[in-house]
Amino acid sequence: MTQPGVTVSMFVQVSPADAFEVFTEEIHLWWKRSPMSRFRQDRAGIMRFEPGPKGRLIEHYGETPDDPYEVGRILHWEPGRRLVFEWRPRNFALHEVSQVEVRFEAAVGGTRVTLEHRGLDALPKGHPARHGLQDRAYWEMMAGWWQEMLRGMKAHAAGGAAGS
Amino acid sequence: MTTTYKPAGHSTVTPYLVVANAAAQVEFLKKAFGAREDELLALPDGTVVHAQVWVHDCLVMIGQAGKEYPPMQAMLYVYVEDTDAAYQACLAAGATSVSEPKDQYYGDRNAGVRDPNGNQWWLGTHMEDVSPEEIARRAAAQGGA
Repeated sequence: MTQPGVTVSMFVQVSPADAFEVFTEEIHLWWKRSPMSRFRQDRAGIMRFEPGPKGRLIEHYGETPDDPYEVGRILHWEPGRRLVFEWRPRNFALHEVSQVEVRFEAAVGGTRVTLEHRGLDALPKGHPARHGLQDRAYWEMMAGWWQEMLRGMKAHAAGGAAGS
Repeated sequence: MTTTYKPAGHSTVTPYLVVANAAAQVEFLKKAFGAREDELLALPDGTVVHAQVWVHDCLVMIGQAGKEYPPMQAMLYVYVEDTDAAYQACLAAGATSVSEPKDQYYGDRNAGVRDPNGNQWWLGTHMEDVSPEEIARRAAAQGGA
């Protein structure tokens, strides 16, 4: 997907390697769990990355027949530098998919984590994922949502470095 | 984790600049004051809708003006180690001069600039402690406030 997406950057006080590890290995600890951030409306789950270039992002619910829900496949896995994965909520049609890219860049005192969510512009007006919003209002809603998620990651990273 | 009313590290009062060009405001603060980016939200067309940067120990929030919130020009006073150097840095970053550096009767040496979004930044270095009596004497001699 080449069209630019909505972008959220966040400074975190750990190294790029640690930031990548926090993002991928500790998402179950920093993901803000709420009705607005889960993929099944009837059940709260836990987010996890199955790591590596052939891995995926899933939400799992325990031992149920349809456990887990695959949010998307990992498309690029470069520890400490770049992560790209598919993002497909349950209200996406089979042919619909968006893409999330996360870059980890060294900055003074830590890392600049930049998340770009692409492919949302292809969603037709009236698509349930737009929540009734269009154009700028929709983009601002998505940016604000990812800002809250990344703030959770930032706070978790500040609470202790990965692996410590 | 306990939630407090004020995020850790934030001061009680935070400047919130609502400007015509938020992206340019971020760049100005980086070039003029060495500001460190904390958060930045941008639309697909590159428009920065919200940002937070640290100007030394002060968090400054920046919002892109729109219909609901038109641009609101502000004036901020910034203590710096070297007013003259900071003044030149601001000009190099695209600001225009409001007041060249000069010593003030109240003990600061300060200068004023206007940034590309129209906000005024007064740069000050506290040079000496001056008693109220001396301030009054100097002000009278200078014809100041």
